[in-house]
Amino acid sequence: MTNAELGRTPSLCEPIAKRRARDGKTFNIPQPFAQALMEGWTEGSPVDCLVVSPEFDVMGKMPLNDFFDECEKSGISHVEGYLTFLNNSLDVKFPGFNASTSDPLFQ
Amino acid sequence: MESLQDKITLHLNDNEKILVKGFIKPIEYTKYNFHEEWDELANLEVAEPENQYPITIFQSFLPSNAVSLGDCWEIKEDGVLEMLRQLHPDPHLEMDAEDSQGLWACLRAYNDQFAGIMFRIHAEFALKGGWFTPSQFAGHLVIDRIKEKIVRFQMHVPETTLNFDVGWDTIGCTDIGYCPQIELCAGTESDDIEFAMSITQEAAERALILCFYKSEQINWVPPDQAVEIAEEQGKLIHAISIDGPLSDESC
Repeated sequence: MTNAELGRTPSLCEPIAKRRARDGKTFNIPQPFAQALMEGWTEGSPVDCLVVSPEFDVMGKMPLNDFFDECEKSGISHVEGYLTFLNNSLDVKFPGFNASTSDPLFQ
Repeated sequence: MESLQDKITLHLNDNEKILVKGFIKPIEYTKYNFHEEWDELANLEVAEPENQYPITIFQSFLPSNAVSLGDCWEIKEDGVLEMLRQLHPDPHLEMDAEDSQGLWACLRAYNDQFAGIMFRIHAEFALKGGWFTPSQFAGHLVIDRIKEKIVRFQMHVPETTLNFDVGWDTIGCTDIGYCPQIELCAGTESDDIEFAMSITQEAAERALILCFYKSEQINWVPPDQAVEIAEEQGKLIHAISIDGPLSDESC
């Protein structure tokens, strides 16, 4: 889904409103899910990847620009790096939650 | 006109010319107001409102061999570049995002007299001091198979919420925005043609998008469906939150 759809970027509210007027579409998202996504966002990040449980717990989060930097630093491919992120989420290692302590993104 | 089982071949008459009209409306919106502060965007307009082309230019959009309904083929570049110059004098088919560049067409429908082709092209324009990348050029072509003429041609940038990306090298920043019309068209509307064989527009669009983005092989679902499926199957949700579209070049 787009950050624009969630109104994450305030300046996009106007084109969203105009698009809805053109298409007659409305947007409906379960509130707990939206909350989980907002919990997983990184400020200033244009793209975030998240793994969320059916109970709306964020199991892993990754701002994509950091991901590219980490892959380069670690010398691993993007495919391998992303698979590691997904597997770490499934293994309840909560990847991305230690970013503020400078722990590596890939554990 | 030839037919081999369920495959058809397509040709055009070399002696004809066709008038193509071009349109670019003023940009309506950019996130960081580039369209107000940068003259290249503030003054963006069509290079040639009208141009005559030999019919042979559209041969670029046709398959070299016989094709079946739903088949995709690569469009040849030369004719497309020449037509894009009617919109802007400096078009490029080689783009920064090399993994999603390309030009593809799909046979969507036909009967004994007419054939309908849908196509998708990724291209960008070099501006003074930067570049302008539409989300995509989507279009369709209706051909009279017996007379070997173009009935209808339209190539346009779809009117999505945000439909172009722009880079202003002078300040080292990018922006995203909406332009209500960037279009080339020729001929007359052909909505009343009844095709004996066809696939839906959505199916043709789907076949084309898969030519550009491997990520479209993933079965993305809307968020409310994702929650429902996750609950039913006891699985986690993999979500991508993104500033712009994932499946076009405007982000």
